[in-house]
Order: sequence, then structure tokens, then C-alpha cells
Amino acid sequence: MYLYIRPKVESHRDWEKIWFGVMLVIVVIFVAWSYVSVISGDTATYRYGLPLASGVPKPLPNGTVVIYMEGVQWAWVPMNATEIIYSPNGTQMNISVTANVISYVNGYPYIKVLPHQPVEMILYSNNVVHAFYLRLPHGPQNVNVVPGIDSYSFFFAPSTVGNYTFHCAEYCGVGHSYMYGYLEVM
Amino acid sequence: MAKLYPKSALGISLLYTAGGLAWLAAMGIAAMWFRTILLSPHVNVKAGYAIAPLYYFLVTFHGQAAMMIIVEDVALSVFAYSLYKSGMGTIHNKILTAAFWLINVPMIIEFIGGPSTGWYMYPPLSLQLGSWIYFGTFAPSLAEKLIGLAYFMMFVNAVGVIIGSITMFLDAYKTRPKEGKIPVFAAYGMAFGGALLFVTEFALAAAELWYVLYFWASVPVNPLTWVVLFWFWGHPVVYYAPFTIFGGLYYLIPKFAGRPLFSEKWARYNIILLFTFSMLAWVHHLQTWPLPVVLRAFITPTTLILAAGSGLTVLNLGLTIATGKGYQWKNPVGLASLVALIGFILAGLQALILPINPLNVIVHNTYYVVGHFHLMIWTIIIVGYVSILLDMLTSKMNGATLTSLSSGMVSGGIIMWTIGAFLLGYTMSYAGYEGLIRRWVAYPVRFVPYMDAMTFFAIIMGASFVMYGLPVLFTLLGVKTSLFWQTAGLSGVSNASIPGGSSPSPTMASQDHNTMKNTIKEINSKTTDASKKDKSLLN
Ligand SMILES: [Cu+2]
Repeated sequence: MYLYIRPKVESHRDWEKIWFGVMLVIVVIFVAWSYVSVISGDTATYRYGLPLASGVPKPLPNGTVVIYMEGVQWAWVPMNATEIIYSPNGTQMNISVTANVISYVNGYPYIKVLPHQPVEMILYSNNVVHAFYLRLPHGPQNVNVVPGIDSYSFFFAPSTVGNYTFHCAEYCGVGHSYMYGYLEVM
Repeated sequence: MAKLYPKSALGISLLYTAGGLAWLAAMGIAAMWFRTILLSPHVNVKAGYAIAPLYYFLVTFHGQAAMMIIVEDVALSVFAYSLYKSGMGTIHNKILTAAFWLINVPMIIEFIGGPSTGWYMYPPLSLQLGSWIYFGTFAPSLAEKLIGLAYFMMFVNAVGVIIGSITMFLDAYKTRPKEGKIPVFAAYGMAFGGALLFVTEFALAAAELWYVLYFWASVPVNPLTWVVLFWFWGHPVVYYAPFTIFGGLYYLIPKFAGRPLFSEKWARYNIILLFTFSMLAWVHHLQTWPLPVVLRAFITPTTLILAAGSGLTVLNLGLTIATGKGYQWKNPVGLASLVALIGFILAGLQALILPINPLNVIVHNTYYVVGHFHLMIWTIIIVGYVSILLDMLTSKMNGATLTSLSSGMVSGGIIMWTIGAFLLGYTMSYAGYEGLIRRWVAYPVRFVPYMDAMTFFAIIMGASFVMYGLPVLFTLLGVKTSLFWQTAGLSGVSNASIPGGSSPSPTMASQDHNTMKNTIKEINSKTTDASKKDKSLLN
């Protein structure tokens, strides 16, 4: 490989041009894929979890449970669950389901939903920055909650019955790791 | 009182090295401490809340010492050494020494306050009195003054970095070669140990001053604006050390490959690319934040272009090795340079998914990221720095070589360290992918085996750090150096690392000749005095 004599180092420059070309193609592909998947919403993760609600479907699908979720130091406080139902003539009805959906187990919030049920969390904080993190089989939700700005997490409940834990993912003080709750698919 | 400060670039370099190593030891102890805490998942909520303040203080101390002190010490130390190696130098040694103290000392007051804010100290958490486990215990009116003081001390640290970096940059410019280009090593030093620090450190200084004004003058802090400002420093800071060290690798790897750098031209072009895009990638840390979509879309290509630039460095150095005359990896300095390069590749691979929006959310705020950046630090920064440091100590020891004992300790230590680093880094990343969130003092019990493995690998790293750190430390302190260094070439170590030693390649001869002249000049004039000064500083 290094048996031949070359007059100058410069004669090897081709490698770097090839590198440059290959990198350019890779960058374009990755960026395009990233943009397309965000715009079209065909990735489970980023799909409807955009903090600015840019990916949340409008109108919300029939049967969506909308929950106002407040992050405090240190707990998630779900409130005002409503189910969105469209009547045959298309009128949207918001039915309060708080009593059926929200309960507490050992002091931790416990949210009950049905398989495949669409869920929208309206996330807000009145104190520090938190992040809503929920790892589902078809991809995680991971959205920061900045005080003064509503964030949105929209997802479909998993198809199988089971218990999932949501957490706070942004360090928010000494109780950060105890800031969690459950999503029960029943 | 004659010698209160080093009088040469080498002396300045050793001074900053001493600072960096002292803080490195302290932050390493903090890491081992909180790893011990993490052996328990703290299922018991009461116990978890009881240990949490200590845990979060240790985590904060660990991160702040690394990001605000060690990284800057290392970058400026390597920058100064690049000047020494390039026949350039420092002129304003008094100012550079003053900057050293500003960088390394004031934050002790901040640490006394017991910050548990995390190193990126997001508002408004970091403005809560309860986030300061000591200063927060005073009456609120006093606590506010004290926490304001703590942030002011952090501001002073940032000012120290600004002064140190601009002074060294201007000194470098004044002492640049009369003819020809600035050598690549010094060019990287000027760009990333000088200009990049100077340009971006203002963002940190401003963010810290904003906090000071919040406490001392009731100026409100907007969380979103603050974090965007902060990351204009918070991202480039991770490049201060590694990109400056790249310069060192551009200098060292050709020596051990026995040929000139594959393409010096691209090494120089890369400076512009890395310098620009390191700042344009800043909010890629905030992809799950409610930032405008345009901004989040912008950082995907900038980050990938930056990655391509880093890859070009790897290609350049890799081809230098591949087309060289057989790489001298048995030399501890050669081995360390090679390991730094390989580590940079393997840690870089982990990062490739991060700028992609749909993939970032899978791992954002998890141990995946923690594993990635620690592996980067352990290889390109720590091992890369060790390679430069050994070369530096060779200069300090007037061209002596490592004994078989010390070269065995260094090579063995680095190999063991790197194996531990890969195991730990990739375990962290896998656990993060599985859903282990960073900064949890309590975690789901299914992660206990991961945590135990991490602690075990960390202990391997701690032990190997002692192994290769001891020869370095003893040499810096001037204790028992005869154990670790010999003047006759009797060891298995190639003398290629000696300035002016027999050159492995005829093409390298002129450069070696140049450094030998420098070495002799330094020895005859001020180096030895400067080193003595460093010893007294350390004692
Ligand atoms: Cu939280």
C-alpha cells in the first residue's frame, strides 16, 4: 500500500473529496427523513408529541381522552378528564370522565384508558421545568413542560392490556425521581 | 517572591494542567461517591428524599467542575503547549496566571453554597432557595444575597476564561512564525483553546450575570430565553477540550505513524467548519422543548454537518496511520493518541441518532446521552490529554524517556481504562434506551443490574486511572521521578517522543529540529525555573 513513491502529499486529496460527497449525501438523506417524518407525523415518537402541538390532529379523533396534567414539585396532577365524542351529525361533545379515568394509588396518579384509545395530555407547570416521559411499546413520549407554556402529548394507548409508568424526565429538584404515575390500559 | 508566576508557555501549560488535574481528582471522587449512592434504587421514599440533596449536590459539583473549570484548564493548557511546540509562546504570563486563579478558585465559594441545580442550572429551579443546600438554609433575605454571590463567583470564573483565552490568543498571534503558516497544532489551539472560548464564554457570563441580577436587583428571568442563551455556551463548551486536543493528535499521530499528516490542508479547512458549526448546533439539546419548529429544524443539518467535519478529522488521522510506516502503538504516547482517536469514533457513533428529531425523543434526558458524552470525555479528552501531557512531561524532564515501569503503568492503565470506559459507556447507553432517565436518585428496580454493572465498570476505571495517573502526578510534583524517567534510551519506549530525538521519518526531521531548538532554548533560559515554580504552586 505504501510501496509506491508519491511526489507530494497533495496527490491523495481525492479521498477527502469522496468523503465530502458521501457526507453531503448522508446529511441530506437524514435531514430529509427527519423533516418528512415530523411533517407527515408517521413516527410514533415525535408524531403528536411536539411541544407546540404542531402535530396534534385537528380535530381530535373520536373517543379521545383529554387530560389536563400539571407538573408540580414533585408530582403529576391529572385533572379534568373529558372524552371527545362526535354525534352522527358531527357535533363535538365533551363528556367529563374525570371520575372514571383519574384515581390515585399509594398517592401516585393512576389513569385508566382503553386499548387503542387516543389520549391527549395538556401539560403545564406553575413552578419549574419538568418533562413528561412515557415509554410505550410503539415509542416513547418525551416532552418538556416549561412554566407559562402549554405542551401537548398525544398518543394512542397500547393495544394490549397492561400497566405503564410515566415519569418526569427533566431534573426538577430533590423529588424528581418520585415524580411518576401510572397509565393503566384495561 | 521572585517567581510568583510561570515565565514561559510550557510553565503556563503546566500550571493549567495542575489546576485541571486537581479538579479532576475532586470530581472523580464525587462520581465514585454518587455511584455508591446509586447502588440502592431507593424504593423507600423517605430514604430517597433523605439522600437526594447530597446526591444532587455531588452530581452538580461533578458537572460544574467539569464544564466550567476542568475543560477550560485543559483547553488552555493544551493551547499553551501547542505554542511551546510550535516555536511560538506566551507574553503576558502575569495575566494568564491571574486568569488561571480566576478560573480555578472563585467557584469554591459557589460549591460551599451547596448547589443542587445540575450543571445546566435551568431556571426557575436554580433560583429556588431550596436548591442550595447550605446557602438556602439562611433567612430568605440573606440566602438571596448569598446565592447571588455564588452566581457572581461563577460569573468571575467565566470572566477568567474570557481573559485567559483572549490573552493567549493575542500572544499566539504576536509570536506567530515570521514566515510560513502557523503549525496545525497551534492553529487548533488558537481556534478552539482561544477564539472559541472567547466568543462563547460571554453567553455563560451573561446567563450567570442575569441570575446575579435576579437575586441582587430583582430582575426577572425568562426560562426559555435563558436556556437558549445558556446553550450558546453549553454546546460549544463540550468542544473546548476535544478540538484543541485534535490539534495535539494532528501533531502526535504523524510522529508515531512515521509520515507527515495525510492532508494538512483539510486539517486547516476543518478549523473553519468545526468553529462555525459548533455554535450553530446549540439548541440541539432542546429538541423536546417548546421552541419554534424552524429553530428545531435548523439544528438537524447543522449538527450533522458538524459530525461530518469531525468525521473528516478521523479520516485524516486514520489515513495517516494507514499509509504510515507501521504505527508505533507500543509507545505509551503513541498508544494514548491512537486510543483517543478510536474512542472518538466509537463515542461519535452513539451520537449519530441524536440530531434526528424522531429519534432524539427516544433517548433525550436518558442515560443514553450520559453514556455517549462520558465515553467521549473518557477517550478523546482524558486519554487524548494524557498523550499530550506525556509529551509535555517529556519536555519538562528535558527529553528523558519513560522507564519500563512507567511505560507499563501508562500503557496498561490506559488499555484497562479504555476497556472499562467502553463497557460503562455502552451499558449506560443501553440502559437509557431501555428507559433509565438521568438524574434519578431513585429508579425502577429493573435497572438495578445495570446500575451495579455501571458501578463495577467505574471501579475498573478508577483503578486504572490511578495506574496511569501516578507516573504523571509524581512527575508533575517532582517526586521520585527517577522511578519513572530515565535519560539513557534503555527502555522499550521509542525515543520518537523526545523533542530532537531520532526521527522516524525524514520528512519529520525539520520539525523535530525546530522543537529541539526550542527545548534547548527553554532549558537554558526559563523552563526549569518555571517548572520549579509549578512545583511550589502544587506543594
Ligand atoms: Cu419534574
